[in-house]
This record gives sequence, structure tokens and C-alpha cells, in this order.
Amino acid sequence: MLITLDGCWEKKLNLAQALSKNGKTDMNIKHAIIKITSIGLIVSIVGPLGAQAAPITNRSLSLASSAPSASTSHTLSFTIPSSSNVGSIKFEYCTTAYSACVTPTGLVTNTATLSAQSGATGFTIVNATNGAPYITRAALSVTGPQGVSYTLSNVTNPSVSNTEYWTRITTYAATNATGGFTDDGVVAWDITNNIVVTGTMPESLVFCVGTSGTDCTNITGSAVALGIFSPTASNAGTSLMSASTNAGFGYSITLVGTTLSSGANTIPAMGTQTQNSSACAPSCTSTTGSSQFGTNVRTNTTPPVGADVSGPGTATGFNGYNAINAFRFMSGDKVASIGGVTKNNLFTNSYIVNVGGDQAAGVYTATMTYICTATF
Amino acid sequence: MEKTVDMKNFIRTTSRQLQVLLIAALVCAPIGSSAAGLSLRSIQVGSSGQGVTTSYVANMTTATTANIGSIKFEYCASATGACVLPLGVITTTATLTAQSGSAGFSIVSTTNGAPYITRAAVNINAATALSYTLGGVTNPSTTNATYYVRISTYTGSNGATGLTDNGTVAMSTAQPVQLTGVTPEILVFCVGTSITSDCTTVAGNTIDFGDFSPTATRSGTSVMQAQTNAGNGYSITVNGTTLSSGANTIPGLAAQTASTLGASQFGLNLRANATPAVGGDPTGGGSGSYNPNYSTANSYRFVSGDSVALASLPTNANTFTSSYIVNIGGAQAAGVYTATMTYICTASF
Repeated sequence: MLITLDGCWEKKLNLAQALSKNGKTDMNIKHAIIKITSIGLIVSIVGPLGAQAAPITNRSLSLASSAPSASTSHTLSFTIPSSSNVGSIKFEYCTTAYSACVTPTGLVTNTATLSAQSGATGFTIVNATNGAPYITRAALSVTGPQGVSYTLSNVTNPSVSNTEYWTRITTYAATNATGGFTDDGVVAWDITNNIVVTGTMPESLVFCVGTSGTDCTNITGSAVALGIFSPTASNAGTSLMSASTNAGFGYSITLVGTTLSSGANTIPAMGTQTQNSSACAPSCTSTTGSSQFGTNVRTNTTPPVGADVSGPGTATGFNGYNAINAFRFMSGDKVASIGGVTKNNLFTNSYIVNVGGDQAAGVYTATMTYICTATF
Repeated sequence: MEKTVDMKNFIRTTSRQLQVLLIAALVCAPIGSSAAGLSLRSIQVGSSGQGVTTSYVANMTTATTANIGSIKFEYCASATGACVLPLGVITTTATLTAQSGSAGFSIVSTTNGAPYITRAAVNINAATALSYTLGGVTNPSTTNATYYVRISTYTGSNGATGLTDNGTVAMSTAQPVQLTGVTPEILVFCVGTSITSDCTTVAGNTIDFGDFSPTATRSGTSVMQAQTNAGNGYSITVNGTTLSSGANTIPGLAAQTASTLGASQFGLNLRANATPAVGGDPTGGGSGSYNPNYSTANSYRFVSGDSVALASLPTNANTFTSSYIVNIGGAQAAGVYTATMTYICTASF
């Protein structure tokens, strides 16, 4: 800097000489000092631009949080271009890039700590001056170009959002960040408003029943044709139901209906006729030639019908309705359940019908109503 | 001066009282205005079918100890926000059919979609399980649709004032599944020489008696199974000719007769016999049985066109074993003797 003194700097030197000569300062001299000092300030600001100090390159400031007034960490990464002794590096937070530095409103660096350093290390932080912390060490040589990184933690961001700020980085040979600087550079950064995203998840129970589809967005249909019954073959059909809930105590699906009937003639229900029983008197297995009607939610082989529960949820079939090749039907029975929140599951309800040869002729019908009750 | 002092004291005292009141109001306000959540809340419907008029059993557990004068059940298309009545819901005909936990309520169902039960306010402790059944509520008319019931307890008896606890229950209608099948007129009948279970397993159609002898009875069996849902059951007849070899025949037994060595005879029955040891009694869960003419063990008969088995009502399957015996006299002409037995099952619906 001394090498590049311009006219203004020469005036300042002359003034210093005058002060030295007189040993005191009169009003005119004071005015002159003020005036010339102002000029000197301009010079000192402009000076680095005109100086031979190399610009710091690859410089950046990474904020852990860009929220206004957030206490966060600032990681300054840059490349020291010159080979020189480095005893301190100053980080000066300003509202402008090159004008007189005004500390951003709300910025607090007095509590900053140096939580990480790399490239050129051994520094400790001096944070006495708010807005202008510097890191210091006994001056050591750095061979440029040298990539370095320093993380200042517990820095409170400026309080004004959506505003651009600048941090001026300056390296010094001295350990107190004064005197002639070696390299410098400026980084720009911004404080922004946090975007607050809000939504409500209400109590949820999604339940549907049908005969085709994969989930409640596309399950349709209501009729299951079981065909023409025969004493020598089983008849079968399926329906579907899908359920999910965020109820803390889960859901329970019950089956309400009557067995297949044609007027006064009925096809007896399978399984022990005690609510939610898994007992099998007189039978839970499919037997051709024996009149019986039952259902379950499994993949069966005798007869081959149905599918196991699928989907990302955790619900399962219940008791007597959850055994392969075992069927039952009793109105009011629980057929599937889950004790907590669950994503959707797709259940396949398999119906099987056998008739004895003496089963009265007729069209047999039944209506199966599934009720899903969630407990929140 | 005294008045001035009194006025200051009055102002100071009044100010402190106002401060106390303000603090009390600030402290108490949240308690009075923020409802706590009803827990373990659920609603069990009698039917989930769309448009079905059914019952709603609302179960809930209170969160707050308070005098409760009313409980409102608000039917909404959404869990939060302005309540829009789900299409098709009718609650104006609702009745309160059961109540437990804290009773004494009657229902006010004048506002469709927002019935409430009311009484003179009575204390209900926190953590009290309550259950109320509303009958005669018509479900939403949209199938497989989620809807909500917002439950709120009030200190007031009008279902509106003094909100104490609340909670929302999500519910869904579900498409009832219609199962349909046809039981046709049934007659399942089969004949063979072996069967393991039902007519799908029957096989065979030949019986080889081997070489006849005057000193030994030859025998064999066939099987048949029948079942029908004919109201008047079925009848099985045997049809054919006796064993013959050209013009030579072995006489069929015209009446039930015991097997006799050295006498040419051909007959059958449907029993387990000892003389000779052949045959088996009918099996199966049906009500079919043998005809009396073919029902005596160790006695045989063969008359073409005879009914050998029958059922007078619809019946499940019965399996019959036809036992054939052959004896010959020493003069029986040599030859290969054959006969074809045709069984005909006729059901009367």
C-alpha cells in the first residue's frame, strides 16, 4: 500500500509531518485532518482495488440457516492466492460490498466460535468487535494458492430478510488483523424468509368394498356370481376391500349379512356359530356334496380361490377368517383388524359354496355388508 | 385532601383488582375456550351400506371433568373446517336408543346432520367411558365414501354453549356385496365297479365271475350312487336279462332266495352278505335305501325292471353296492355267459 500512495495519501503524510512539527493541532488543522482523513478513507477503501494484493478466489460463505436472526454457522471457504505469511484473517460483515462497512442490523458475531478450520490451520477466534471477527495465530507461511475453510458457529444472522449482505475477507501477516493486508475478497450472501408450509391431516379412515380394482381409487363392482351349484363341485367367488386409517387404535372390519338363501331354503354357514370363534364344528373345510357357505381372506387351494392380504399396511385377517382352506361365516364376526395406524391393505374375500344333492333348487342370494370401525 | 387521598387509594385498589381480574381472565380463558380431545372415540354403525337407515353407536372417553348438559353429533363431509352435510344423511328421524356411562339424555334431532342429546347438566368425571346409540340415522348416499362425525360435549343443554371436549371420528360407507348362485334341479347318479367318494370317482363297468361250478358260488359287485333335490325323491330300477350264452340261460331268481349250490340261479341284492361273503350295505348321508325286494342279506332276486333302491324325499348321496351271485347245476350247458345290467334312476320333482 505504501508503494502505491497517490496524491491524497501524500497529503496525509504531509499532515503527519505538520503535526510532528507543531506538536499540537489547531482548528484549521483539525478541519484539514477531517477533510483529508475523509479523503484518506476513500483512498483506503479504494486502495485495495488499486493495490497489488491478490484477490482471494473461489470464495464462498455457506449458511447453515438463512433465516433472519437465526443463530447459525457460517462457513467461509476460499483460496489464498499468494504465498505469504498469514497471521490473521478478518471476516467483516457489511451491508455493502465496498463502501464504508456498516454492520448489518441484528448481526451478532460477539459470540462466534471457530468450530472448524482446514487448509491453513492453528487459528483461534477474536470476536470482540461485533461484525468483524478475525482468526489469529502466530504468522506462518502459506504457499498459494491454498484452499482454506473456516466455520464460525453461533453467529446470529441479520434480522432483515430478503436482503443481500457482504462479508469482506482479508488476510494479514500481522496476528491482529491490522496493518497491511495481503489478500482480500468479498462474498455476497442473503438472508431469506423461511417458507412456512402448513397442512392438516384429519382423522382418516379410507375404506371401500367392491369386486375389482386395487385400492379405493379404483375399486368398483358389487355383484359376485357364484354360478350353478353342484353336489360334486365347489363354487367360489371373491370380493375386495381396502382399508387404511390413522386412528391410534386401528380399525376392525366386521361382516354383516345372512347366509345364502332362496326363499325359506338356506345353505348352512360354516364354522362354529359362536361370535368370532375359530372353532370348526361341524366343519370349516370345503366338502363337496355337503351344503355349506363360508368365507375367508387367504389364498386357498381347496378350492383354489382367493389371495392373501396385500399392500403396505399391517392389517391382517382375523381368527377363523385367516386360515388357508378354512372358511366360516357368522354375521357380526370380525374378519380383519389392526391395532394401530396402518397404510392401506387390500383384502380378498373368498366365498365358497357346496351343496348336497338334496339342496332345494332355486336362486340363492346373500348380501355381505362390511363395516369398518376405526377407534381414534 | 382526604378526598384526594381516598381517590388515589380507590384508583390504586381498583387498578389492582382489575389487574387480578385480567390475570384471572387470561389464565382461565384457555380452559374455558379450548376443548380437550375425546379419546378412544369410535362409531360402530349397524350397516355401512350407502343410503341405509341404521344405528350409530358412539363410544368415547371424556378428557375433562365438567358438568355436561349436551353432546352433539355433527355429520360432516370433512374432518375440519366448515361442516357440509354429507349427501343423503338424514338424522331428523334419529332416536336415542341406548346410553351408558352417563345417562339421562334425550335427543334433539331437529337440525338435520347435527342431532344432540340433552339433559340438565350433570358432572362427568374425566376418563369416563360413554356410549350412546342413535337409531334411525340414514347413511350418506355415496358408496365407498369417507365422512365424519364431530362429537362435542357442552356444559350447556343446547348443544352449542360451553364446549368442553370434542373429537372427530372418520367413517366410511361401503358397497354391500351381492352374492348370487343357482341351485338347479339336481339328480346325480352314477354306476360302476368302484367308487372312492362321489360320482366324480366312479370307474369300471365289467364283472368277471370266473368259471362257474356246481360246488361253489360265484359272486361279484357293482356300485352306484344317487342324490337328488327332487321333492319326491328317486327310484332306481335294474334292467337287463339274466346270464345267457346263446340260447342257454341261468335262471334269474324271481323271488328273494338264498344262494344254493348245485342249483342254477342268478340274483342280486344291495346288502352285505355272508352266504356267500359278498357286498356291502348302503353308505352315505342321504336318506336313500334299498327296495325291500333287494334288502335281505343272503337273499337274492333278479327281475328286470324292479326298483332296487329309492328315496322318497330330496336326499344327499348314498352309495349302493349291488351283489351278484351265480350258482349252476351240474347240467348247466357249457359256454360263456353274459348279462348287461342297466340301472335307471328316475327323480320326481
